[in-house]
Amino acid sequence: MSTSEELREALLDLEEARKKEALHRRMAEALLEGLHALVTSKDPNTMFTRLFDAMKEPLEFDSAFVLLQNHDGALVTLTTSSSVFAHRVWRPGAMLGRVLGGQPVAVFDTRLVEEWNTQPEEVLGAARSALHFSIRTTERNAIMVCTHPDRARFSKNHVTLARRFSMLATQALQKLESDEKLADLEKQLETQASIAELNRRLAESEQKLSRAKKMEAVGLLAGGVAHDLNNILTGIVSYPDLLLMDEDMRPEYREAIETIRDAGLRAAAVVDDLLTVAKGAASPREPLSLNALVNDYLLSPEHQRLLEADDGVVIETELGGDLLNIMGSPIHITKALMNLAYNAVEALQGTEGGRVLVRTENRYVDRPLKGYTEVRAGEYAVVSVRDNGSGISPEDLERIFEPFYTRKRMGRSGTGLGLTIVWNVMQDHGGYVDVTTGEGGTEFLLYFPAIREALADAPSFLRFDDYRGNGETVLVVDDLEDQRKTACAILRKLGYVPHSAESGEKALEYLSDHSVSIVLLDMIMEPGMNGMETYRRISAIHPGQKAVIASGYSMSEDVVAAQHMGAGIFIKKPYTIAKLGQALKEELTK
Amino acid sequence: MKLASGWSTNSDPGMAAKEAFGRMSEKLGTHPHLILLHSTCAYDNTIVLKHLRSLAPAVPLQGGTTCLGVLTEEGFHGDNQFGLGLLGVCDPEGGYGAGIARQGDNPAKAAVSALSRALEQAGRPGELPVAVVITSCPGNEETTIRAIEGYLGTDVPILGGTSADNDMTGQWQQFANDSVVRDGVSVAVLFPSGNVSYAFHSGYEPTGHGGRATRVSGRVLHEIDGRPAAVVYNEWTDGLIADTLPGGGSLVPTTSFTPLGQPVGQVGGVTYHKLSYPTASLPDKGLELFAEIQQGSEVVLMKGTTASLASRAGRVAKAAIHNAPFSGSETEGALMLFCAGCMLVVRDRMDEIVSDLKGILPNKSFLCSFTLGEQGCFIGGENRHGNLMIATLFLGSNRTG
Repeated sequence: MSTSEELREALLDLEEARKKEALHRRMAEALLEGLHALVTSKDPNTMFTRLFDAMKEPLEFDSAFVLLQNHDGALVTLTTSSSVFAHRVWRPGAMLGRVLGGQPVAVFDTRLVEEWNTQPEEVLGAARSALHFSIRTTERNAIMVCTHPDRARFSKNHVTLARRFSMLATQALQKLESDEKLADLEKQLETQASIAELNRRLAESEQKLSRAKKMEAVGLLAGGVAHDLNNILTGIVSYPDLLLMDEDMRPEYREAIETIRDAGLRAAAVVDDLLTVAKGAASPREPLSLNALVNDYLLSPEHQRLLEADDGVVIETELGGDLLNIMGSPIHITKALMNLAYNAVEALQGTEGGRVLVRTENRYVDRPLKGYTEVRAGEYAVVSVRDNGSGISPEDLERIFEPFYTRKRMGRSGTGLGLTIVWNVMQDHGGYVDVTTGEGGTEFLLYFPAIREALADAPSFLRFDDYRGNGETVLVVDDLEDQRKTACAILRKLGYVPHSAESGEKALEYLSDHSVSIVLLDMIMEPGMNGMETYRRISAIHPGQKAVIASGYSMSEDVVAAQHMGAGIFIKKPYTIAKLGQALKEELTK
Repeated sequence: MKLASGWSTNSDPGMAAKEAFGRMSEKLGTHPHLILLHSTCAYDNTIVLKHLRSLAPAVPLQGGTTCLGVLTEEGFHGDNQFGLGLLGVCDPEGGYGAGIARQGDNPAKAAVSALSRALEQAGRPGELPVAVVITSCPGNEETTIRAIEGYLGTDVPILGGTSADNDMTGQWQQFANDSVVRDGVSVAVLFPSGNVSYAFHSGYEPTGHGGRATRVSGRVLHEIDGRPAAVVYNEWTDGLIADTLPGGGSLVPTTSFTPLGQPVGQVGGVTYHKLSYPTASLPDKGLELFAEIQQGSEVVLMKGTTASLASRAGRVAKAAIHNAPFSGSETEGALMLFCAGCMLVVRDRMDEIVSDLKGILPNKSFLCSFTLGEQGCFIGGENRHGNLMIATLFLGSNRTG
């Protein structure tokens, strides 16, 4: 290639970079202007008017309006820059359905689109082309529509910008919702309550907002560090297990190594709790019986250890007959239940005649519970944990669900996140927590929306004797050297023959002329292909290849995708010998 | 989203369709939502389409004829003038459609008609596609591009190739769904769940020779700077076409390394060109071209080498990935349109071209068709028809770009 051709190509790259920079600059300026409008506008109409003004130049529209979805699915005009679009009702078809699903759509001719054709001529005349993108708050679906009277005015660049602006428009809608709620509250208080009550409720709202922000911060923290921490902890948890298998070890060493292992397990529990709190950690839902979960928990080793540590506390159950099922994540609900039981037992320490009552029942709720301005009316399955301790002070009660808030030593789980997990689990399940406390004790009630579906078959469990392998070959695929070493050491101990590969690419190279009984596959590997892609390609070489997935993160979309392709059990790092042994055995005997 | 190619050189059209579809399906692992088909005109393509439609009923299918064979990541596939290739797109969250129309005496209307049918089949009439792929018969490519831009606006990338035959005897065909025509335009519209990237380049550089097109009619360049175009061209090329000057004659592939260029834009002060392939010297000493040159515009003699043409496919692919709104690992596959004239002069270096492309698209599928003209989108965003070009369309799984 000649020098002039090189120069020509470098200039093309430069031009492309300039274009992108100009686009980003325009977008950044408009976003700043829009944010300023959000912060400084006094009323919703001014806010949206200024927001439309900020977006008008980069999105090159003539008019804009926001459609809000009603409970019956119809979209109605919330606000508009032009009276032509005011008070209109839209029935979503295929196009608006895609927009509500999150895809921005540019329409070059509205007269060809089903939903637009149901609008009167004056609307079609004012909007020959249109750009649609979704605005979603936690409570409502909405769409912002930018229009132009000329045909074919919106391009892929406008679509790209629309994706960015949807965040800003979402903030505006959320602010509007907050303002509306505040206005409702003010109206109610004007007629029902005193100024003091207003101040109290405002303070309560501020506290809730503060709590929500802390929850979000913990979620972000968890997402960021959990994977790395879990990878580090694999060595701390797994190597002691291997060393402790040496029966000739001197007792003082044994004690020290057990201390290291227990510290590692406690650290892993902290990360696990952080991940439970983290928003977005996918958790599969299934029909469940709270009665079965309570029974399983009471028989669990964790609960037995708790009882042994607090001799004298009596645990009683009153499990309601005909309890309605719920849709939920058994792991998360059990964790919430475990934290409530720990707290109850801990509250009774040193109390004569300490009793904890775990109760389940069906309830119909049609009015707000304490701490909630509104609840969805309907049937709920409720599990409650009540102790006869000395109760919680009003000051503590305000803050018990905040992350790391405790006036005692860190909870039994050692993480300071016990009740935060309870709060988050209930949020994720669309349920509610109610707390009553006083001198006679404290009761936590967890309200889960009830369903009428039957339960899936109960899972079966393997015994410890079945963990050991029988000379089967295992390919360990992990980008971190210490992870590979740890896994291989455990596998040898379990009686397997391990091989290892440092990347998906290397694994494929190995498997192109070898076969293995099972693959132990890391999900997140950098650089190069991830675990899901690796499994997809392994399947092309060895259809039906057995695999166990290991990751420092919770279940992710990639894990689910790999499992759909045929990969087996998912285990979270750090794993113990038992956990890995069980997973491998279960897959190999399928 | 996933892309996979399939190919066959079996001379039986039914068997060829089955073999290619089988190879594609095996890689894809499921049913496609769009099939792009490029096959040589030695086949009875009506039978090819009939078999493909029975294997994938109701799946949009678009394409046309290619010169002598096709290229995929598995190599060049052409044997005794028989060869066909498929590129299947599996994208359940996306939307795809194809349409076709005969040009008759109104190629612009035909283009819009084919485009409307494609949008209808995609279930998205009125919506702006992310990219448009076209295959047309030679002669009205510029009109086709202008008509599509008139309908959708000028900001949708249009990529495609002019359907070719094996010996320039007019046997070319265009396909969509279950229709095969010789004088039409077929269109595919793409609404992928991910995104697209594209590039449109030649492997040629301008020389110091240039002038102004002072008399033009259609695709015939009669005069440069008021002198017979063939005479001027012969001087610029040091007598390359002297044998044809007395009575005219074919210039294919004589002029493959020395096409004419028309400046279409500037980047940082450096001009980039659209190429026109001189295909015949006329008795009146005019030059017949395979792409329009505007009267009054500047024309420049361009030059290329075998090495620059052989390395160009890889470089264009690299440029498309470089500018893509998705990473290399998110790239799912590509369609390429490669000038048939260029292919003929670098035919013995096809393995090198495949190797380059596989290096840029490791473990991904691509399909390359050899065409008599290429349509693509330049860096400035202009959709153009040119000769001796390479046009690429990449699909990737990231939608945020």
